[in-house]
Amino acid sequence: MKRIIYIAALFLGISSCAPKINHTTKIDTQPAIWPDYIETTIPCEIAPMNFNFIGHSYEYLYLTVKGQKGGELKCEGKHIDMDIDEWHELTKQNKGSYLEFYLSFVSDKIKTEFQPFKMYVSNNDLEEYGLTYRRISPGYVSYNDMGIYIRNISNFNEDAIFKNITQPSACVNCHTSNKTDQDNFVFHIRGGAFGGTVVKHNGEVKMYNMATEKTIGQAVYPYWHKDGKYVAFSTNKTFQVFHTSNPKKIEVFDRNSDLEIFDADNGQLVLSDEIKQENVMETFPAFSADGNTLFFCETEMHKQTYFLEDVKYTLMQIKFDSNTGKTIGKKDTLIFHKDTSVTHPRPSYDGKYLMYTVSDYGTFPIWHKEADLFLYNFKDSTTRKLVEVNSDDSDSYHNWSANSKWFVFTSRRIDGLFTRLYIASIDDKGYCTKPFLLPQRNPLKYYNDNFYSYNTPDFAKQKTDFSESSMRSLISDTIKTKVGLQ
Amino acid sequence: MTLIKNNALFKYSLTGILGIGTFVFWAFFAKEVQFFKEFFQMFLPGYEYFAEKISRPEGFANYLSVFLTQFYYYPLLGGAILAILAVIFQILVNKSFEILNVNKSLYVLTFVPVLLTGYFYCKESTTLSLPISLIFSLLAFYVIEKFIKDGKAKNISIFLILSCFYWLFGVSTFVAATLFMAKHFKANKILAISYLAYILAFAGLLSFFVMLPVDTFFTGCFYDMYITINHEYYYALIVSALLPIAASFVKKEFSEKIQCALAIIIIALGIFLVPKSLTKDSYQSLRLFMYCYHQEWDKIIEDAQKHNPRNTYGIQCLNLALAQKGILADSMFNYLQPGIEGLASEFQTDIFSPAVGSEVFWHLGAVNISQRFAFESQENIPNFEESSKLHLRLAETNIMNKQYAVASKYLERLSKTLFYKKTAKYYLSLIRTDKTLEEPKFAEMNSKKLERDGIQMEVKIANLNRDLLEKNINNKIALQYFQATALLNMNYNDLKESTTLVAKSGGTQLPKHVQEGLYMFYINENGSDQNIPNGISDETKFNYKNKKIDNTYWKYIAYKQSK
Repeated sequence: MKRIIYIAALFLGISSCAPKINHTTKIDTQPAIWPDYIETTIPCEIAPMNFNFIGHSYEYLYLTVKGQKGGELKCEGKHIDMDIDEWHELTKQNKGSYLEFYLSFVSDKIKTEFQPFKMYVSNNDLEEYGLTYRRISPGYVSYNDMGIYIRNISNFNEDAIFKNITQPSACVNCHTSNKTDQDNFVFHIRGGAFGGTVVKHNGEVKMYNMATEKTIGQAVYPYWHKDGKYVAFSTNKTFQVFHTSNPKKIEVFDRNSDLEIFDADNGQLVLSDEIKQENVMETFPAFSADGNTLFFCETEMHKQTYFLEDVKYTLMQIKFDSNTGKTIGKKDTLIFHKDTSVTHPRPSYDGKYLMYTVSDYGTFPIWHKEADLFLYNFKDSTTRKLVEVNSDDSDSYHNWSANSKWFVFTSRRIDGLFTRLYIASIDDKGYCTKPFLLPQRNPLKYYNDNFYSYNTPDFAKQKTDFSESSMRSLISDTIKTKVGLQ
Repeated sequence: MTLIKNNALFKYSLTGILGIGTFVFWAFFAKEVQFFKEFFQMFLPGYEYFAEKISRPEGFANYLSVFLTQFYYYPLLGGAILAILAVIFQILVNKSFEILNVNKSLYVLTFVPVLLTGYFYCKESTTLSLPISLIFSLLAFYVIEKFIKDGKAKNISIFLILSCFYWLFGVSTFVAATLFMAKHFKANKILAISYLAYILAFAGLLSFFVMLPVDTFFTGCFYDMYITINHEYYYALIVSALLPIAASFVKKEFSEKIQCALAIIIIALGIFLVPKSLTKDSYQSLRLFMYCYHQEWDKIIEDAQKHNPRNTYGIQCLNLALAQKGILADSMFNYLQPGIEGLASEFQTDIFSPAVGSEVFWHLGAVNISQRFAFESQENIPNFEESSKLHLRLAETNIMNKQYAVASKYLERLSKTLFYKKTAKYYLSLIRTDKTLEEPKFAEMNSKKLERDGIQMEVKIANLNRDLLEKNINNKIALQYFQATALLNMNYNDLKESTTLVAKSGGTQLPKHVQEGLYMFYINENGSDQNIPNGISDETKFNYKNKKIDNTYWKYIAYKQSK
């Protein structure tokens, strides 16, 4: 019996080993890998940049990663799955330098070695725990399995903040923290009696009913003021229409929208006439890094029949008084693009830049193939299209890391439908590095098998202590705090 | 009586009747329910899918349920599976009767839990998790009582098996706990009660750690597609647990006559009661949808001629079948017509109506709307399952929109399934070789696919058909839907426009109902039929003048006006 076990073990051992190699050959090209991580710049805390070899059928892969400043990592198998600790040791050792990837594959007992390719390890750390995002099927009206998740950026662990299996039919969205700090965040939950806006403020979690008789309805797009006292919200009457033939499929648009400031200390809304004008639709609020300016997008409100293609948003700014929560003076135009629409302003936290999305029209660029990221430089008041980052498909929702050296954005560049997360860094001159797809243990399998889109990503300084069970207790408590009016 | 005297033969015969009856019922009379259940699920082999299911209570039952339901693709196979499950279930109920020393003359009662479970399973939304988990619960009771001697080992085994089975099969474990309690009550009351108390406490404790709606820890989660709404099946659990206990109190032996009468009653219940869980109309709409999906247009019309469909979605399938046969505007008013929603309805947040709508719009050539409805239907599946059939439709619509990367993504997933992989691999090969239009299905769709883009909040079917005809005047389905829409909307101008469209498409004769509509509107407008344009037959004029309105458009109008 023992002999049988030994033979079986030996057989299993042999069958899981590398194949025999009769001959080794070298070729002059770099390997075709997916995702395309070649020449990307990465933060040293990032999870192993595993990739799949897609250039040829193969039986086995060998990878050696060599650091320019020293260190080496070896990995072999059916796909590249690098050891997390060894990887981090290597990236830390090579900060400010680069890693060289020597890949070879075995097919029919012939080992083929490629020319190495590089990844650059940035001098700038990410200084974040991870990312938060919503996962949902990219669809129309209905939604099934959805949730808000937090992903550790240094490994592949993902935890749910909320999954709607806890409360079938619930919809959650717009999870937004204050400069990536998970001690202050806000998100909305919709669905039947348990809907409301969840606000975690200085450790306390409350669910608010944000609708008042003086505002349009529930709160929608949020942005925290740096002091953590205020959250600027838009409140929107949003509709959807569907294309009958265009592959674009959906248009999401507002028929009315205003801005309001939520005073999280007192649970009250502060309303200012200048950002709540009758014939103007204001949306996408964002505070400047110093907290003294409120940016937002606006367009004229059409009362008669109009073409959606004519709805173009402009980026505005107005002074903000952080003592009263009110705006000061008159608004003025910051960014206007002729014949296109400006949305999603996100100022960097260091006060240098403002990143935004430009699409042909409307307020929902995710369904616009032409949507691209732009960068406004406060120093010289110039703006430019981020050609080094954009793709032929929709590139839109973005957020900065707290140190403003990195940003995350969503893109549909892989297949035109499912939004994925990309990260890139920005240098002192305002130039961005080649973005890289959020790494996974086996990326091709992961992304092929994944039928969700990643929405509203943001960095997270730390893992949130807000769990699914806290969410369930919140939902079961149907008495929501009614927001007051100042 | 001789049969009853031969106890073993009597038992085997009844069990045999159950097996054969279950098979015949499901394989031949309830194919549509199998079709529905298979339609809204997709079993994926592989560790990830298994791990996802098993990571929550009741997950293994859910996994087995979806695994077995995929075989409903072939109704004979589905019928056989259900027959085997029914027989195993009944045998295990009988075993629990034996363990609890139930009077043998009450044998026929062992069929009651099976029939009751069958009754609930006939509902389209009940999943196979229900019978599967009941079977495993009874199996746990039988195995422990039969093979482990009373004592410490048995007590530990019971607590262990209850915990494990609760995780694997869910609240049906309460049935096993109740039976263990009944079995050991006389010997040790406190210990016996602790079995049930333990599993209830275990369920309560889990509810703090596992993120599912709290009530589902006690009512069941995935036994029904509607996780938190439908809990009628709970009666099957209660009866499975309490019937053996109640029967164990009956000490009197029943005479052979009574046993025989009971057997007849049980068989009659099985035949007449079990299928009653779905109304005739609901069954029919599922059946018509099944025929529609398989493009068995004659069967739809044949079925409708036997029983006039009353359900809107059944009528949508019927109207599509009539259009496919080219007789929609000739014979639609031979059947009940609810109005424009009998052609295609607005999107509703359920699973069935958008699934039917997706079929209708696909055949019309409105690819984007078909895609949207297929997506919505899948997203509305309340137990978080997905659908192989809807995946296929999403792939097809993406192929038609030349969104090959997205289509391939759906097809790659389908190529892992048992019954859709052949089609998926074939479509993938068409995409890879850029030969999608060589497939007749796609070539035909390409010839009629809607080209003119518009934006809609709601589907405006008259405009849609006009756009479809602008693309291809030979789109016969769109032409008939245009005519039917004009008739149902009582739109004289559109009806007149349809005569031009008929001529443009090479038609020589106006359909019967179009003639009826034109004639009626003309007389209403002009007072008489003098100078009425050509195209109205003498028979139509005669029928109108002589008020022969059976199976005509006029009867529909009269009915509408009377309402």
